Amino acid sequence: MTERLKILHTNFNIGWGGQSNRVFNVCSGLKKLGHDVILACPEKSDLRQKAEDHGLNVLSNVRFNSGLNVSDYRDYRYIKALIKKERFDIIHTHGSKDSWVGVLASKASGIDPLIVRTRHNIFPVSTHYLNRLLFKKWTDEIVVICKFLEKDFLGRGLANAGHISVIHSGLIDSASDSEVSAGQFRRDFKIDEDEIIIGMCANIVWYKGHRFFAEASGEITRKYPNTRFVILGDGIKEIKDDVINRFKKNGTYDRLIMPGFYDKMPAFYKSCDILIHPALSEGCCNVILEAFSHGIPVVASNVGGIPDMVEDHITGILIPSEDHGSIIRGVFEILGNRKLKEDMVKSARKKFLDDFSVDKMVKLTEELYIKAIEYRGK
Amino acid sequence: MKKKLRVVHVISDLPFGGVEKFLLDLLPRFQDNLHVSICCIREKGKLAPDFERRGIKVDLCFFKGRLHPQSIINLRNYLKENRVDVVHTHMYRANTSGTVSSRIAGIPVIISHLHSYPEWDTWRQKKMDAFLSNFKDHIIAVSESVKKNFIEATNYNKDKITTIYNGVDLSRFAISYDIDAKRKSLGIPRDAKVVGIFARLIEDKRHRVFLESAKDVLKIYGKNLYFLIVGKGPLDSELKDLAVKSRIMDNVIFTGLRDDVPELLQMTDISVLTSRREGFPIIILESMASGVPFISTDAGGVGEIIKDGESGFVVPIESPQALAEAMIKLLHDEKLQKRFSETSKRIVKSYTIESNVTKLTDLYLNLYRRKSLKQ
Repeated sequence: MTERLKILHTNFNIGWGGQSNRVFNVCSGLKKLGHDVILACPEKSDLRQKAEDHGLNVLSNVRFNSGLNVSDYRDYRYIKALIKKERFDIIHTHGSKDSWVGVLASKASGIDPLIVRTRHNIFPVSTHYLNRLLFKKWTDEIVVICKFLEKDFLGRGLANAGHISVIHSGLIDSASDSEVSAGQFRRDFKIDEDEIIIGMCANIVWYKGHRFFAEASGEITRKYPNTRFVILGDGIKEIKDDVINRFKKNGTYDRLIMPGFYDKMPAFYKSCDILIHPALSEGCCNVILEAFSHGIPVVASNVGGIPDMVEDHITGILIPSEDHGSIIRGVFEILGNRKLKEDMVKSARKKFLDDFSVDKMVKLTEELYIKAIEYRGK
Repeated sequence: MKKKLRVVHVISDLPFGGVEKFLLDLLPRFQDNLHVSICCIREKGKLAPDFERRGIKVDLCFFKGRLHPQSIINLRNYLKENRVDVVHTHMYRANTSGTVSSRIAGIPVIISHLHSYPEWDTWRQKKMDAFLSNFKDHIIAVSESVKKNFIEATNYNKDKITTIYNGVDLSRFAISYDIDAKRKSLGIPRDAKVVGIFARLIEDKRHRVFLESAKDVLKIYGKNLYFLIVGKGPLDSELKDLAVKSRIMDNVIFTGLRDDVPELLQMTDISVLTSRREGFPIIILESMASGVPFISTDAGGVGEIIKDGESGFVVPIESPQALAEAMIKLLHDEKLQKRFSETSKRIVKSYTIESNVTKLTDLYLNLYRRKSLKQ
């Protein structure tokens, strides 16, 4: 039996998203493993609400506002006192502000717990002196969500070799969720049974690459006239208009379904035939994982963390980004080669269960803590 | 208590390749006597999880360029922080940067391992390798021919370079598998003959020569013969196209990457290698351990294992005719197959992975002792 660790997790997010979800899953997982976990997050955050509902020990006396504020000093004093009182073994921070506060407070507290930092997104961290000090000198272990980031951090001198690990985000398997029926989505949008649904599910912002999906639609419809294109998600109006115009230009606007947010996602996954994800930048893509778990073949671009999930022609089709021709070829290949499709779907489901489960994520995090503490002991 | 030496193996990355699979067999066997870990300088690669599962820690120390100052310093810091006693680098890229970083970090023992003929693209690289060799404590070559070639090219002190032939884990090949079921799963009839090539689908392995001679052999031997191409690589679709164009696709099976090589070897009648560049190919040892007669091109250290006409055939590089003739000769002569098989099984017994472990451990300890006495 491993030693019971005392761990403080800090997170600054107010709204709900991939990061909050992961923090929540890691905290509850570690608690289940018998560790003493305290989560510090802002009062107004969705994470606090959900964590409290699930019986986690939450402290919401912090703000972690962005930018330099007076409240930062308050947060710092509060965390410092907390560290002194609770004598944590580990401080695990997740955002920029809470990392600075957490690191400085633990340095000043005299307790010197192990500092672990997870970097959740792939926007580049600038390499100025203070950041290097924070990441390389003051943080004991860095966790990143994809191999791309590991290379990026090491290559730009933001991490020490041997002290950075990739732990993929885990997702709860919702494929066995039988609350919604498979036909629900088709009924909601009046799609016939014999029509092919090619879907894309992402916030409508420029870097998700909706325009390439639109450009590919013309050619796909010419070969498979019974195709319906579905775009789920909301976003920036100009980009939405641009995407619609491109569908109109390709003569496929009447085949497009674009309802904005759709609240019955499992129903969509149960009906979708192919998922396209032509993003220009991506960290850990939950939509692809959902597709893996539901057995939908995926065509996705080779950027950021996507190649960690999509192995070309093994778990999906990997294409260069910003190239609608490759989307067309990918779709034709899936629709024209039944065996390939079945093999890919099977391997993808296996990959999802093997590498992207919440249990694995929690276990790897725990192992990392134990190894880092051992290393420090030496 | 005696101190356990800390040995770090520096390598570019860990794809599914011969060298990497050899290390996967080798490194876990050191664990009783040494602390062994791996540091990759390009990326971790596909095999990294397998190493970790067997208790070998794999770290990444990403290199922007072979001699990029930041990268060199990063590796130096890593080696220093982990108080490494022995750095063992593999193949050209890691041999270069690993040596520089280790020297700056003041690592006691630096060893480079030459797994193949050097991949010098330019005159400058050759000079660099020659120059850096002065900073190494020892060099290991995988075959006599690799050793000779290196000494000729760099004028390196021949006392500081030894040949250690690679070894295989014989026990994995001694098991009897259900080969009928294996054949069935690949759609090969029980009475058909199978010729296999086990190599990554890259230019250096010259699969094209294999396919060309396959076409000739099929014409002469008849259709009850299958050619197995095991492996993955950038030439995948090109080779499939070639097989289709040559109208032999019905008798050629591309299996892709497989982790059941011992089983596939057991159902193979002849194993072939058509490479133009090799160090000391492990697949030859694996085939010999399975008792499969081998035909190989005369590349690198191949001639040091296979004696032409005794345990297999050695044919010239880039010669489909010679290869086809050797295949036909062997296919028609069951007695010869049997003789090759028995000789191979006998010879391979001196190439065990255990002997590699002993030789390398001795080398590490001796060099380290000598170094610490000097100080």
